[in-house]
Amino acid sequence: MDYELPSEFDLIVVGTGMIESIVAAAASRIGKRVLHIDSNNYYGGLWASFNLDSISNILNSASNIETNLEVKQFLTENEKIYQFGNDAFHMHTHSQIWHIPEKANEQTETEQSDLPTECIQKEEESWTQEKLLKNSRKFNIDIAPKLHFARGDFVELLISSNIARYSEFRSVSRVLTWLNGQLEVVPCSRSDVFSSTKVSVIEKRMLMKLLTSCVDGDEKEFVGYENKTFRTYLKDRKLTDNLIHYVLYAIAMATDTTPCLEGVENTKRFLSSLGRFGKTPFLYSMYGSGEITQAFCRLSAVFGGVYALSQPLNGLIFNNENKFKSLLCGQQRISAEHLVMGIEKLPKEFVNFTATQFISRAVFVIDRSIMASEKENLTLLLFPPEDGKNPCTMIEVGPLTGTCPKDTYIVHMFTKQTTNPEEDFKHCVERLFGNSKNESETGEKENLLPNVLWSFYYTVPNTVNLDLKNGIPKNIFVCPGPDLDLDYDPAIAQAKAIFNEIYPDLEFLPRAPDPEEIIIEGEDNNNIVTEGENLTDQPIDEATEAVADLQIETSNDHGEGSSGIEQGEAE
Amino acid sequence: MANRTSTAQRPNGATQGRICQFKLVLLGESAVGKSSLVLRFVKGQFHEYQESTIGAAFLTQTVCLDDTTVKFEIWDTAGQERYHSLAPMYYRGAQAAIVVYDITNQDTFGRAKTWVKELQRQANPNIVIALAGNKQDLANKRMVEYEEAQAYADENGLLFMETSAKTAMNVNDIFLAIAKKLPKNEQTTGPGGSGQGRRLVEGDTGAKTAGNCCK
Repeated sequence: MDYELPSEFDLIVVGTGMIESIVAAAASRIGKRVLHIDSNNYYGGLWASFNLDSISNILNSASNIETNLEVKQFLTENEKIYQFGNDAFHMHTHSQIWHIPEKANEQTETEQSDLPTECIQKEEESWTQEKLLKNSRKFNIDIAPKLHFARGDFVELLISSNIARYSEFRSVSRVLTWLNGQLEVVPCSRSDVFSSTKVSVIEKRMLMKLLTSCVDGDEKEFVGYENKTFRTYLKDRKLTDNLIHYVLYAIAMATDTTPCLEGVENTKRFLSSLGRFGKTPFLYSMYGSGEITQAFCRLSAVFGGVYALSQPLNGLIFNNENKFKSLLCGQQRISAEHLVMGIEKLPKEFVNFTATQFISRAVFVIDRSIMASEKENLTLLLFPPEDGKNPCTMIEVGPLTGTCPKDTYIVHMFTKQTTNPEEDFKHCVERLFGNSKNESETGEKENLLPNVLWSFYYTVPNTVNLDLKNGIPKNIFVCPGPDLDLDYDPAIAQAKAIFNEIYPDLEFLPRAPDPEEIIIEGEDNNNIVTEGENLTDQPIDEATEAVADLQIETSNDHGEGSSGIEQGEAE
Repeated sequence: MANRTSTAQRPNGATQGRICQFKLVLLGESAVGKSSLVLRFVKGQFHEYQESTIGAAFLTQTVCLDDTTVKFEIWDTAGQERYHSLAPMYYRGAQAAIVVYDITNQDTFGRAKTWVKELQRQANPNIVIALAGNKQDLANKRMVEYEEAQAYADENGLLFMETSAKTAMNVNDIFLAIAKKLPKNEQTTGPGGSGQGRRLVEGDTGAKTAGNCCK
């Protein structure tokens, strides 16, 4: 059954990327009639997550533009039409490679039954493309992976708008860095600092003192450092080399040239998110970062937003004053006052800017954690800059995040591009993964490096700092693609700016009511559910339900993954 | 936390006073009566010309089974199914689903089968699925035979009832049947399951884990 779309809206949003989805949610929330439409058959645009099958097809995903359609027939006099889409702002794949055989060697399989148990187990452990693809749907591979600061803008917005109830998160369980030729856990909370065996007692005191002065932000502390680097400041504080490494490269996520005050700000951002939801300041969205765009879209739909994916978007129609009038969807004209669109959807005619910065990205499916331990970890690894290479940010997620099948992990890497993704990550890949080395190190299983089963290198233009108003009609707002920030702070700021421009003086994502607060027309307070029913098992009354609420809330601290992440927990 | 006391009061290991929370999603073609079923179950109401309820993200209702209290968090599609744009997030971690069709419309039954397939492919493998043939009060205009739907449900291991949100027939019953079938002892495990993540909540209540059953 196909329904025709309504033909008039207040706002049309084209593309379901992060910023587009936040704007759609915010506009629906204040009662605007919103159409959120996409030619893609999936949510998230350049911010989506994919299963293993579909990620290989994202670039040749069939466009359903009707090229033979005579579009002129839908225009009135003096109107112009432009086709959606450009080549300038899409992701660019460098390579997508399997590192394992397509199928299990049949001979080995038939012999298997005669072999001793250990050999059979070993055989079972080895992955094939076929076996991995059978689990394709258990993958949710982010193309723009993000972590969330527990007290960052994103988490605060989710909570204040009540969108948080749609999504589940897991806390990042450790922050790692590469130090003196190996992976080291970064002591980031007070208890970490004191329990660390890698930091001497004197260092502990120095570190605590430094972190405290960064958080307290005593102005005098940084007088004279306005034009100096954060590294210089740390040196002047007589921190040891190891401590400088931890603070500079991991906690402040900085480089040797980062200005002091920026380093202090970054340190504050990290420290202020500690102790809310876990041992580290970070959260990760269950089932991948792509879920987040869907949560905003759901809020928009709940408040009346109309959702239509896989739509044949045939063009944008403008009047003679170059004002956006309508879009042509199939053969239907749909009009709105304003249009918000993702940068990759922008017609070529309006591309008046070019990206000068690019992001190198890579995803690896591996067969064990980069630093195995008894329980499954969710890891942020900050790989320090070296030999002209930029610092690399890496996120390792395991099966408990709902993004990969049992016995696999996914490692995401991203950095500011210098040459290309393969080159930019070469030094990390060589040290962290062991495809070539493992064979010579047989026997010592604990020290085995993970094997790469599948890898994907790609480049994304960094469009966050472009002037996206240049030459764009006044009632069109262009949303940049994913940026290098670890969290969604820049995306939220962009979405808010667009919203405020379209709807000045209106509230941006006020809190949505809870189910209990919704009063449905004609409702009275009697529980009519059981009226006239002969049931013995009846829905219980509200008082009992309230007790039930309380009890459920207390039941959430079991299970390995959620232990120790009570809010307000001391560091 | 103040509400911790209520946990402590529960006798350890005893079966009494067990409370389980489950996410239940509604699926089905537009206008088959998904929202009406929920409204009848949760609020005891029926509106002939029910408009989609703006702002209702999900509703909650609790049912008692012998020694267990089952709290349903019932998610409505919010209209996203109309243009086939329901987000995968919608059925993530759902432990139960009611797939609804309209017994006076054969197409909606076909669409219901598609939803069942989709759930079997995408959702938690242990999900309890119920098929509801709604608008039973219009049985004189019936286009889908009871036996046909029953046979399909049997083949696919689904609960099945014909319901009427208008007369309330079988509405509570279908939710109760689901409540009975849901596993109430073991944790849902494995990456497809829910309740491993954490909801972020304001204030000092910590966060709420959806769908886990407490002992």
